[in-house]
Amino acid sequence: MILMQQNIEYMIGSMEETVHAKPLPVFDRNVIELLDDVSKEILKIRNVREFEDLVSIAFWIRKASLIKMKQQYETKDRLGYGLMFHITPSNIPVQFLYSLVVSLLAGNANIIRMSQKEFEQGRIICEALRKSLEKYPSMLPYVCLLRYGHDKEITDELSLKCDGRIVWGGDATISKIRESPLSARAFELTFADRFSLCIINGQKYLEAPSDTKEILAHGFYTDTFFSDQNACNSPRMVVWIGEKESCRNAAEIFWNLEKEVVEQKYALEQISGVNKLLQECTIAIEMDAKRDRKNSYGNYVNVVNVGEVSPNISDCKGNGGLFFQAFVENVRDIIKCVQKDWQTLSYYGVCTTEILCAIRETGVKGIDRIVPIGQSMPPSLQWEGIDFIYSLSRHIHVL
Amino acid sequence: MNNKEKYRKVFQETFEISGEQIDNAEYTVTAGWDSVGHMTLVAALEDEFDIMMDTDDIIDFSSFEVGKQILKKYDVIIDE
Repeated sequence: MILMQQNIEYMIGSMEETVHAKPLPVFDRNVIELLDDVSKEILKIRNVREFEDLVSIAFWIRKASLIKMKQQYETKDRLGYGLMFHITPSNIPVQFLYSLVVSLLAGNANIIRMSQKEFEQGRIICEALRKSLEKYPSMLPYVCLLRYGHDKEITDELSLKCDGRIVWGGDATISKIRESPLSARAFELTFADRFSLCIINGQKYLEAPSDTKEILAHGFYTDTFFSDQNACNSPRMVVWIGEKESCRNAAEIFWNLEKEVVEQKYALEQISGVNKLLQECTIAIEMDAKRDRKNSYGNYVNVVNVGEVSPNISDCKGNGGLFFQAFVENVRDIIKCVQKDWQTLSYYGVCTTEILCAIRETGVKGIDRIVPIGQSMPPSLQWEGIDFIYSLSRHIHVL
Repeated sequence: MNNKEKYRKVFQETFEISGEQIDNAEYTVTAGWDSVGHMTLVAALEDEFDIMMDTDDIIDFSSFEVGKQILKKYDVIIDE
């Protein structure tokens, strides 16, 4: 352990203290107090509103919200497993805080490997955590944030020491981390690459009042452009349901409104524009797809018509504003193509019961979340069908 | 500082507005009071009055005036 320390950069805490921290009851009072304080520290920063993701998670971890969450759980005789080792991603700036929060609430001490990539949100969070931990020193051993390069020895050591490992993918990261074995009793949660989509009823969209269309355009922006479509819950495909002509009209209005929002809020990097063009061409060759040239949405919003929904559409990756578009007659045409790696389905004008019935009847393995457009990002204790509180804590069975 | 002053102060500091702008403050109309501003407003109100607001009340909190009625539920009386 001492040998490798020189290669580790500590942002908060120390590994020595954290490996010896004792498990806490779930929703421990001190954890709630600490997180509420972190929320306050984040929200009082002057320019915080520039970071919607940060405000959203800070709002989620304020006391009123945490106490409501606690009421939904059976907390009696339930304790954390012990030490969790988290590998957090480089593409979602606030993900490491989310991972820390759910694991702390479940009663665990945490060693979190942060990405080497610097984000303003990351800096703000670390600063807030530092200030709050000073006020709640008993919580210090439960939070250790660190960075290191691709050093397998360090991952080996931490993997053997921890009681559980959480790996936020992609697939390549998960394979790499799995080269480091866990101890016999330890468990692992992995979050691999996923594909998400958005479905809209064309006729219902056309009938929606203009302010609803505005809200949807902003909501879709939050779901997609805000994270550059890097989040696994960001839709990559938009599917229109219903009669073709009205769906085409609806799509034209939808993308033009989206373009207006994006032009106001989004900074398109040149490299991103070039990548999108390259991806479009690749998809055109592989999928016999057509770029939607009838409606040009500039370089910000790129729409590729892929004809119908097909199971292998999730093999195509687009980000920075590259969307696949398909037109189908009913929900079942989409659901029958769902693959195991399909995650979030966001919707407008479609009945959720109909979607659920189709999933149940077709028996597909994918789709873990069904949310209205604009709601794909808000944090929750459930993720990809997993409940973090129950998954990261043990229940003592007393007879 | 009485409740009315505290209530005004929260709006003033959250949206950087003053005087009549505070009295007329309304969701999506007042600059800065968008979905993100709404979260900072609710957190600041909960903090100022030491209350925990229900989700429905958070959603219904659509203006400075409406907010006064909502806060009554939490025994925070703004206009004596």
